[in-house]
Amino acid sequence: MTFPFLGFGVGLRTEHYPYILKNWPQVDWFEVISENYMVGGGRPLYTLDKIRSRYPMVMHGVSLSIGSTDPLNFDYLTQLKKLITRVKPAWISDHLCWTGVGGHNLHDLLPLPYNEETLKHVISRIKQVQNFLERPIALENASSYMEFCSSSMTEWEFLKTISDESDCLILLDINNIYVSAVNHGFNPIHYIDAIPQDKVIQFHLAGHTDKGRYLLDTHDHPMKEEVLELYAHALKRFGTVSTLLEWDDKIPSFPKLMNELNRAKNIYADTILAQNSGETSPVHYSP
Amino acid sequence: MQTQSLHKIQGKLVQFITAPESVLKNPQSRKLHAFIKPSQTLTPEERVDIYANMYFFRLLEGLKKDFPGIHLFVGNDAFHNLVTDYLITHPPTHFSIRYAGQSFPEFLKKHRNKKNGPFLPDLALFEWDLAESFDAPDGTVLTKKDLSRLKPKQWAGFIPSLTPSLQLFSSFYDIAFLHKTLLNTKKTSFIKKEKERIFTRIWRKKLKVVYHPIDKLEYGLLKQIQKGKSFATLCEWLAGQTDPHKAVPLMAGFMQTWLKQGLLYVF
Repeated sequence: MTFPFLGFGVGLRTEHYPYILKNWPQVDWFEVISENYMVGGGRPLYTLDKIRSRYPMVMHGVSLSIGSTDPLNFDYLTQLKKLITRVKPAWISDHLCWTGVGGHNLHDLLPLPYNEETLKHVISRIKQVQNFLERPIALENASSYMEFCSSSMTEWEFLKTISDESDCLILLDINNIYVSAVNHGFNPIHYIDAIPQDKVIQFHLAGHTDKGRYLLDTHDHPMKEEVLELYAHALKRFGTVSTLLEWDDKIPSFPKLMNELNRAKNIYADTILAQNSGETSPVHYSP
Repeated sequence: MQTQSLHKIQGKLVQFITAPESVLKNPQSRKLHAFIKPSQTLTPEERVDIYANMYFFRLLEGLKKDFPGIHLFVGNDAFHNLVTDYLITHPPTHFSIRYAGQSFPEFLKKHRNKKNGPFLPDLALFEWDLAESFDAPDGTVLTKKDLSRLKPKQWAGFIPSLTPSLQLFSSFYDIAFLHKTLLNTKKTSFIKKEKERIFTRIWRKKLKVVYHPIDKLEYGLLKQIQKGKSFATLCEWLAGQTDPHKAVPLMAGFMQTWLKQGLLYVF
């Protein structure tokens, strides 16, 4: 299965519906939150269909809970499959995390202990999900604020092994790598350099908030320069990869969002030009 | 290092994250040191507390959007406390946060502090009905032309279909008025209990959720249709509620109104 290069997209948010439907702006593609459209009908599905008719689309979930020790939710997967049939996305993705246990949904993306027990558990579940959906899924590295004593490997080693052994793809969130790197004190370059080049299908970019003693992945600010520098490094390693800007709170107007997306496009252009001319630029990192 | 199974770790974290008190004030939180590492700047308790805060505030914001009238009526602090109590008894179980508030009206019925607004459970139910109507399944609106295809002998057995977005609401309080006033003025408004129930139908007209006051007869008739009754049974039911001679013209009038307002769907 091959996946197209979609270019530069943004997350589809309800605040932008009127603008998009009126102006049909120049943007390469949209990523939708799958669960927002797992409803019977009405405005969500009407708008989804309208926008899908004009733009490429990717589905991004938040409720797969691939790392939970609860049984897989086949009601969820059935609805997801139905939405896939409707949207015909270029690919689908979710997060390498768990969102609840014991039937209790925390509606958050919680990290996992990185060890053999978790590897075995998650790989088995990814295979079940991919079999059920009859397609590969991409998993995103979530930002995190805690680490487990029982981890016996790094997050990037864990992600690489998961991808190698389950044949899932990787949605590499550059901002999440940076946030977790600062929160846990690792070098984000090591992370990026350890990820297999042939598995990364998409990049996420976003803004975060500096809370003083840690970084919080808030998606409510412009992208930080450090994240864009990491993005440049990732582009050098992975080459042309579809890139998406997420913005979920204090959402700016669509034209302002496009201006922000242009910052990423400029990095892409500069990086490709630099590569073509044999130049390199340094990546700065200070945890 | 003590090895702990993934299931145990997840179970313990859920307990700490969903506890009503901050992780930092939880007398059991020292136990986190057994499986959460400290960072250079944060203790294990502080790290887990980040998740506890995100859990609560994400749901608080979601419930504010689902129940804007309740939020406006009780104010920020009281709403915060209501949500704290609600999440203890009704933790979210659905995969979508969209359904986190589905038991909120029922919770308010049983909640101890009703003195400021005995109508709050009804207001919450009204707001939940609006949300249910918003994304209910689509269908094709029935037209006069569709109905004209029915042969005279088919009418008695004809079973009308209603839009799945239709919600039938009733209360001894004028909740629709209260809701509109709250959202328009952003100010608390009190309403008195009425002697008779007030009936309202809520439905989606094209993509917009609308509501309209109706009388007891129409409310009862729509309830009968929701139960899948035939046209003949509906007319009989109507005859039992009013002057039997007026039942058929009354029924015809209702059908015309429902057709016009897009309440009937293709059968």
